Amino acid sequence: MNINNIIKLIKAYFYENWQKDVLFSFLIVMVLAMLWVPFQLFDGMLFTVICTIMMVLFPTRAFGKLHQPASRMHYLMIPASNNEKVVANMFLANVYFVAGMIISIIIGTLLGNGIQYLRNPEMYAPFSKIINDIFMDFSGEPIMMLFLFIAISFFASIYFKKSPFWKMILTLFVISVVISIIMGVTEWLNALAVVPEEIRKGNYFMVKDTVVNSDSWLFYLKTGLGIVYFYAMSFLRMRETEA
Amino acid sequence: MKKYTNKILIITAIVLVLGMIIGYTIQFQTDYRSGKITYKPFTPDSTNVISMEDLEAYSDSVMTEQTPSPQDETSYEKETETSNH
Repeated sequence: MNINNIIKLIKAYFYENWQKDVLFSFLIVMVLAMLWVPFQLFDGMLFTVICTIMMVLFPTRAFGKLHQPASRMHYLMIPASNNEKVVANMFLANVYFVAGMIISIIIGTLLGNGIQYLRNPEMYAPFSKIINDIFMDFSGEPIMMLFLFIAISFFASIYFKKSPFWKMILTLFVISVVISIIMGVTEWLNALAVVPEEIRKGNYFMVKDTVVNSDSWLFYLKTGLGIVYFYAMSFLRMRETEA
Repeated sequence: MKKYTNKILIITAIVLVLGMIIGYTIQFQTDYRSGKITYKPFTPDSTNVISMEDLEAYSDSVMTEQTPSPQDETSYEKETETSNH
């Protein structure tokens, strides 16, 4: 793997796509942040959801060229190995786009804060407080979940040939339904084995001790393994696509 | 080159499902035996439903806490009167 090739791939991406990214992603987020601060037109949670969807949506476009017959050969003939192409796209999805979004939010908030000051100085809140309110929900666990979803959508962009985002959403929905059914059946079978019959057949409900919580380190371990798994699968799938 | 991705995905799914079932079973059994999971009889009290009478009494108490007392009002009026003069 050659670092220079990766840098060239990233530069090539910038030359081709920077206007598209600025117009359709960064500018939209900046305007939303600018309107959100002084006018409170929509809920702060909605703003977080929009930003998260955009960050998850971006990697699904990473390998779009690979699945279009017109540009497929051109993409595969680019003088860089498949691993280098995957690494370059990983950088774009995890660093470039996320950083772009954060910078857009900060600039938008700063402008919105200025508008608020001009419009109504009495309602003016310090910039640091607003930024703190926006990023307050982004503690360690949501950040890990965000990067896990980025990894999943990255893999989906290689795996699914058409509409990777919707196919990924559909797959995740089906998986979550299946998991819910499995968990429900497992719990029922467990209760069948342990809980006395008069309780099982009577009008009882289960009470879980609030102390029963999975450890934080276990969550980070599981999410970290998930991220590594999906990128490893992306490398493998990319090699298979070339073959 | 042989394609392994689909096979690995299927194996992962099977391992995860089995792991979930075994893990949850162990967790459930341990928690039930240690008393962290219990079963309680289902009664109207356990649903935490608030009756209308309780709700009205609560809203009345909140309202009386927020409404300023007549004494406060008169003192405020006096203050505004003096400030106007």
